[in-house]
Amino acid sequence: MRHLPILLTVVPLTGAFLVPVLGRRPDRAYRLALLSVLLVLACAAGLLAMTGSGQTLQYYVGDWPPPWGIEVRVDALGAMLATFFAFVYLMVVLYAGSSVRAELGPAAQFWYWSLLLLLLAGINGVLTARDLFNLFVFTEIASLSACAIISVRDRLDSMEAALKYLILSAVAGGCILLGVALLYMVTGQLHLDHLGAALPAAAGSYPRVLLAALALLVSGFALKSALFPLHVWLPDAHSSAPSPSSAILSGLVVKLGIVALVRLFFVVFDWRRLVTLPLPTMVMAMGALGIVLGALFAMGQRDLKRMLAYSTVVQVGYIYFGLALLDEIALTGALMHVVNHALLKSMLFLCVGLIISRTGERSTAAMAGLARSMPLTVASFTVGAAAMVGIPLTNGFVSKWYMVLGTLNSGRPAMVAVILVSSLLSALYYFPLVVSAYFGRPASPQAEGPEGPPAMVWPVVGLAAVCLVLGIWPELPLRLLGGVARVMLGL
Amino acid sequence: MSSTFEIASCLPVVAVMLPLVGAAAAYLVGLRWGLLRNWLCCAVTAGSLALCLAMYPDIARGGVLVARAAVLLPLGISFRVDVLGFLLATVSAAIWFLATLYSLEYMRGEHGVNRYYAFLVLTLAGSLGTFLAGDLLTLFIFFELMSLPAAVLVIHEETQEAVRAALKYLFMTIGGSLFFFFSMVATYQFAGSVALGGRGLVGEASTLAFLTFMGFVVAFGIKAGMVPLHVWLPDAHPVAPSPASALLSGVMIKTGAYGMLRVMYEIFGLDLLRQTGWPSVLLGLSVATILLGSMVAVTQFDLKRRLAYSSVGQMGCILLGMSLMSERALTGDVFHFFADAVAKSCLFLCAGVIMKETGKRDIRQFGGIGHRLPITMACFAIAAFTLVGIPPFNGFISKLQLSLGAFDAGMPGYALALLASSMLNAVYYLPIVITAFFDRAAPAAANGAGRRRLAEAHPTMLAPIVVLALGCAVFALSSENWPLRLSETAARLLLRR
Repeated sequence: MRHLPILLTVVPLTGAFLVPVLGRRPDRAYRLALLSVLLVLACAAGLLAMTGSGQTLQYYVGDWPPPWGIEVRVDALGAMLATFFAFVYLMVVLYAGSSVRAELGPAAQFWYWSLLLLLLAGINGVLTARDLFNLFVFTEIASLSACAIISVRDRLDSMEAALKYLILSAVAGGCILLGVALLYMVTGQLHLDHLGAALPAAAGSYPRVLLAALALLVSGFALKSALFPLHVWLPDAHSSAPSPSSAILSGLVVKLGIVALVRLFFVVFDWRRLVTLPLPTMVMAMGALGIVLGALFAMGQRDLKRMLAYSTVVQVGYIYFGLALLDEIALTGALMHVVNHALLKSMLFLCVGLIISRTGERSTAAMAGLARSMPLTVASFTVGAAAMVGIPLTNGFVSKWYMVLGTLNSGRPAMVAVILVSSLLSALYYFPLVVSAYFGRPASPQAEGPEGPPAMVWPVVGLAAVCLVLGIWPELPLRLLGGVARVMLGL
Repeated sequence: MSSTFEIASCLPVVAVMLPLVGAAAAYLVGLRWGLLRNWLCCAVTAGSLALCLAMYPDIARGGVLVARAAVLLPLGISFRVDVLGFLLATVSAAIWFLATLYSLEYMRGEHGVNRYYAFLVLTLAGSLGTFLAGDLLTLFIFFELMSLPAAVLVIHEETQEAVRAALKYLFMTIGGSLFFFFSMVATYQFAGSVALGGRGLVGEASTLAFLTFMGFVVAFGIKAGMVPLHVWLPDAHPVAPSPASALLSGVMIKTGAYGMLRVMYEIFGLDLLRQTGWPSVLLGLSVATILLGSMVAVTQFDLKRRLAYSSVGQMGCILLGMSLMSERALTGDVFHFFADAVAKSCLFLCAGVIMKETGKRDIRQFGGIGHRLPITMACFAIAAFTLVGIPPFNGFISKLQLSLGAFDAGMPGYALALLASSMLNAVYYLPIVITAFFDRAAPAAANGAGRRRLAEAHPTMLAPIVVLALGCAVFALSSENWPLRLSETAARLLLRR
């Protein structure tokens, strides 16, 4: 039990290397991946149970305490995100078990599973890392494996998207590394808590170096999480990967930059000091711009996956907006939205994957009249759309409630307009699709038979069900995240 | 009756849950057994009506039924039924039952019947929940639960026109719900609570309080068809099947006005409104709504579009009544909720019969139609007289009370707006009635091949129409005007006298 925090990272990492060692048969690789993800989910759930009452778990790798050894720390935020992310991962792996067979050749399939596990190791590493250098390393592991996953499909547009992603992600990685190096230079520390303690002293002697480090770190992680206007790589990258990978990239991987920045904002750099800089205002402005412009771009898309990808830009802006308000309630809402969006966007991408595999089309017109032949998929899509708009009884409503309340609580009633406009714009691009799915006339005669393999349909339904459950009973995550928010703001 | 006491009761919860569960059951049953589903829907709506009526003994004693259903979000779902909520919930459940009965024959052989019935019952759950809600969050959730599924009723015909109307409806509804949401959260920010039934939660006037008020005005104004936010209504109501139009125009738009009434008197409170004069915004808009809605109705020749614009005009009267803030105006206002709901749904059901039996929607072709559909047109005439405000009918009582209320409030000018409304109602309703019965030149055209035998509608379509037409007259003629008495109590309750 003591080793659970490190198992979160070690299990998928081992799985990733065991896949090529154990066998080159795709189905065996799939089973191994499934087993690893199940183990990770069990570990994460165990950690969630342990951190549920508010304490954090510290684990020293090899029993070497910091600053010499590496510390892995699981707090309520990390445990909760790890649990939900592992759940999304499980659903995606179940779904991908059927779908990659159709999309990829046997050799690519087997690499695919290995990369997927490597990505999970990167994700969990970022969630649990307690020193800045490990944060950087695991972010890079996640980015590189994400990049490889995009390019796993041997097609020109995938290659182009992967290259675009690779270059920008390398720029981001460079920024982060430079920022870490600058901080290490002035403080001699890498552990987040020690850094946080050493910074006030360093701030007196090297104010410019600190400012530069802050700028580099923020832009690096913002680029990784596609905060507007650093989002340019995202629509290409997320729409050209296979659908289950799009689900993970859009649902989980962009959140890593956010989590890393949350740690930086609230652990390393004292936010009361940050308030003297215009940084929160800048982040808020970029978030607001991302919300509005991302939605306008999304509205112009004719390709379903690109539309969802732009919607991710909107939602990332939404989360950053909530973080930058520096208010307890808004922070709770923003962190809740990290979870909600992970569930929602991955569910929507899987829905679209089902639609694409059924109709062979990626255009928004493919949705017309689909409700008759694909009732479960369209129903799940409807739940997703409703949650994106923030209709009561869906999880999107919960985060919207907290965000609006937090905005008012922080004394900026005018900014509520941004959140409400974002809801309205989401309605403008999601609802016509839902209406046309139920009431439109299909362009071409539809194929008979079931809507897809059960292993692909049920994960989608499962994710949709969790979205509804979180919308109706959100107390537990809200209580945990409220505690996290209070700790972060030092209340 | 000024003192009220609270009674814990599960009746409101059951009354709302029954149609909610009934809708799902109707859909599932309807996949296999169509007939069973139809009667199930009738039973569910009748059951809701019975449950609403079962609250009467407690309400009559001056009680307020309260129930907390579930904890959801930081707040919870709660119900609180006072006289006002009881009256409107009962009236709407009754109209729903009649419209369902009417649908049995009207929807026979139509497409998508299963979906239609399920959503018809689902929207009942939404509007009952709205009328019985004990706090703003519950009101909001049920308001959404009614408004969004109603789009399915609007889109029912699946023509391009219907899809366009439904999308317009959907976007405006969502826009409205965002304003509602903002104002609700702002109220929570002010008071730490969104419970209804108090004397005002928003303590003092501020810019944010005014924005909150305007947010509610926009949110409920969209639903209530207030000018200039009414633009969705004349498109959406006529394209729906007639029984659904009757519910949309008769009951569902009333939820907007109901929400406004609650918000004005229980969230903001009379004192704050008197002191700030914010309701004058609503006064101006409601006069515009009366005049514009009624005048545009005159220019419409499609029967259902004319009825839809007439709804806009009548909602203007209701919004006017609540913003006058005097006791008799409120009495007339609450009574007009009832009078207009009954009359307007009767008119839409009549329109359904006319369209079904003669295939005509254009008013100019209605000459002599009364000879062919005597009962329908007689009921149409009664409902039309009600809305015009001709004496023995309900509409006269409500307009009288509203006008007296305008004098009480010291704003007699607004009585003129009510008079104008009556006159314009006469201008666009009476010609239909007159040509239907007395146009001697046209009967041949109306009947197709000469004067045939009577071709009245099926009894299950006719019965709801007759009941509603009687509803327009019976209470007004009897010495014990039950709805009026309830309206008076409700008005006193709102004013906390």
